[in-house]
Formats: sequence, C-alpha cells, structure tokens
Amino acid sequence: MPKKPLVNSHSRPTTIFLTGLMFIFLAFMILGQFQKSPKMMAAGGAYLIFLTVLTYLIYRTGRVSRYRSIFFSVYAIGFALNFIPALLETRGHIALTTQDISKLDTPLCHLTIPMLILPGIVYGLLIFPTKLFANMGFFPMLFLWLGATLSLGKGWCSWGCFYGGFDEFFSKLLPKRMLSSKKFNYSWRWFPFALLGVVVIWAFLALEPVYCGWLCPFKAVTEFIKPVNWLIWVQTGIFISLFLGFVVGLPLLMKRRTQCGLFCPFGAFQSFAGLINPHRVRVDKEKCNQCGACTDQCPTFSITKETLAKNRVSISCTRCGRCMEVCPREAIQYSLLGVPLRKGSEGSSGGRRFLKEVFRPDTLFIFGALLFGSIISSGMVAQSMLRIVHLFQTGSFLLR
Amino acid sequence: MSRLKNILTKAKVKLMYLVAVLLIVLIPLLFFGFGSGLTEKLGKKIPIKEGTFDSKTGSLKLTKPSR
Repeated sequence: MPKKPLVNSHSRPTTIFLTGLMFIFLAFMILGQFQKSPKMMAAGGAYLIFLTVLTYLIYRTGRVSRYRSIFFSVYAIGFALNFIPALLETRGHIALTTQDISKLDTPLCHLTIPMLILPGIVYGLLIFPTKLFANMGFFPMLFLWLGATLSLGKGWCSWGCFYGGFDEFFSKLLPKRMLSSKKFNYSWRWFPFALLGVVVIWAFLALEPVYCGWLCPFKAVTEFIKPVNWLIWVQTGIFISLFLGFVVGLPLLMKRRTQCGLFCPFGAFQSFAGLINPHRVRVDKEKCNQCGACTDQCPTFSITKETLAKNRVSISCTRCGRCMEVCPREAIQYSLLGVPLRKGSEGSSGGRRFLKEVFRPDTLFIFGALLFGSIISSGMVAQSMLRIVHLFQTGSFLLR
Repeated sequence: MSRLKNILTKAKVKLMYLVAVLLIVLIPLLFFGFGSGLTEKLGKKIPIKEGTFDSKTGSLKLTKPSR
C-alpha cells in the first residue's frame, strides 16, 4: 500500500514553484552580498544549491523536521567553525581579557537581550561590553532579533538561532533513545521561565549580564573570560559542565533538545515575545485521539498529556514540525491566528489546488522561516567552507 | 446577522494571509536595511549609552560621559 502523504507535503508543481521562488530570493540575497569575492561567491553558490535541494525536499515530502534538522545542524557547525577563527583573526585571542571588555570588543549575543532591557530603561545604559553600532554590536543584533520575532516568532528557536543547531545535531546522532523519557517530569519544562525571571532580576541588581558570566553553555563554542582567578575558574567549570550536560550528553541520550527545552532563558523570553507573530501550531480536536505519539517525540517537551487534553501545544513550541511528521492522524498543523484548520485535501484540479497549496499556513511559515535562516546563516556557512578548504591546503583555519 | 459574521470571518482570514505574506516580504527588506544605514538612523533615536568598563576588573562603571 502506498504511504499516505504527510500533512505538510505539496504536489510536484507547487513544490517546483516554491523551490524556484526560494532560489530566486536566495540567489539575490546570498550571491548579492558576496559579489566582491569570487571565493565567497563559489562557497555561497554551493550553499545556495544545498538550500534549494532542501527546500524541494521539505515541500515535496512534508518531512519538515527531518530536513530542517539537517539545515539547522549545518548552520550551527558553520557558525562554530567561523566564529572562533574570526575572533583569532580580528582580536588575536579567544579568551576575553579585562582590556577587551573595557574596549567594548565583544560581539553581542541575542541571549543577553532579556537582561539588557531593565537596566536600559532605568539607567539608559548598556550593561554588556559591546559597541552600539559595531558589526555585531547592540543595535544590529537588537533589530535582527526584532525582525526575527516579527517574522518567525518562537520559530526563531528552530530556524534562526545559531546555537539551537548544536543540541539538535547531538540529538540526532544516535539511532535509538538511551534514556527513556517515560518517567520524565514534564514540569521541568517551566524551568527556563523561572531561570529567565532570576537572570533578569539578578542582571538588573548586579548590572552585569549574569547568564553570560555564570551559566551560558555556548561559551564553549564562542568566547569566554580568561580564567585569571578562582572565581572565573569556577565559572569556566560551570559552563563546560553545562555544555557537556545540556548540549551534548542529554540530547545524545534522550534524543531531545534539552538545552533549548529545559534550560535556555532566552527561549522562554521568546515564547512571550514571539506571540506577536501570527503563526501557530494547533491540534485538531476532531482528529486527535490522544495517542501521545507527539508527546513522546517533541524535541522541546512542548506537548504533554495535559496540553494535548486541551488540544493545544505549549507556549514553548518552536514550530520545528516534528509532531506533524509523527502524528498518524494529521491532527497537528501549522496554522495562522484566527484561521480555521484545514479539514481535508485540496482536491485534484490543477490551478485551484496550486493556489490553495501556495496559500496554506504551513507553506507561508516554512517559506519565511527557511528564507530567514538561510540568509542569516549564509555568511557563516560560506566562510566556514572556505576555512575547511584552507585547512586542507595550508593546515590552518585562519584566512589572514 | 449571520451573513455579516460570515463576511467578517472571511475578511479576517484574508487579512491574516496578507499579514503572513507581508512578513515574508519583510525578511529581505530587513537584511537590506542593515546595509543602508537604517540601523544607525533608528538607533540614534533610542536613548541608550555604551557602558564604561574598568580595564583592571572588567566591571561596569556607572558614570559615563554622553556618546
């Protein structure tokens, strides 16, 4: 018996149209920025082909999570392979010194944004050591986050965040789950919200971005403060342990994104901020029989028995699409706020079906999310490709 | 009454689709905005200053001359 198409799959003509449209958008955006460098143009071209193939596969098969996962992992690896060598080229070292801090020589990370708001409003002061208008300074990052929040909402965590791909990557490495989540207490999914409250208040009182100093595991793949006293050694031990635990170990064993689902306070912040975006994931109560397949597979613990009983997903849902792949009854769909859920297939007549498929909520969300993620990742991934070639040619990752 | 409700529902659905399409168009515009100096223009209107950090301890000093 032929396999039933998935809820997000599209007919071949629609897929070809959407893939072509994505190719045009991306060619314009990616190749346009690399005009001055033939090498970057070639690397960008290779990445463009990769993205075009992924777009086709996502739309044609409807396996959004599977192919998004490949994109997201490549993005994270490209980020790590580029960020540290770029720091070495510009600053000469990775570990931050007090001189670097006083020169405001630190790229801003979006994870700090919730901690900057209160001191910014009350004191009119930026408590993170970065420049206001530098390339990866405060305002570019702030506007990037605002744009992402408007266009992706909470989908940022599965399509745009350059850290999310790390635990995604590790969660896909082993074929089987080594640590069952049957006895897992789903109340832990509220921990990021509690941590968000703590770090926001703590940062305001201490006037420093405390999450970065004490807890951020991603210092392991970016930069960290040079350990010069016992306190910084303790902080170093904490971030390495958190990285090994939440980003590597638990995702490997549980096949879930534990850092994003159980720890990241920015993810919790984005759960609220992302509500301004109209895209949602909804459960059709007429189709859902509460089988729990989605609960078992949701990477960020965003569907529980309780939410399913109310025909909802949790506010922390990152729009990754995994639940839609595993639901045997097509009961979970991407949807738009205030728009009724799709009830059946689009019918078989050509033009009408094409239009209906193009203007489906899942089509529009995936297009925007993949477009955003592709543009933001293109520079990092293309540059990292050049670095890998350079490594084979000269033995060094550094281009300068 | 039910006819009016029906028209309003249909209008709402169409509006949401329009918003979703506009959000896609916003994405390239956002990235173009970075290269056009729009960030500086908008940023200068937001009253926030860079912090001054001690070069010996790396901690924030609360007094800061205006930018």
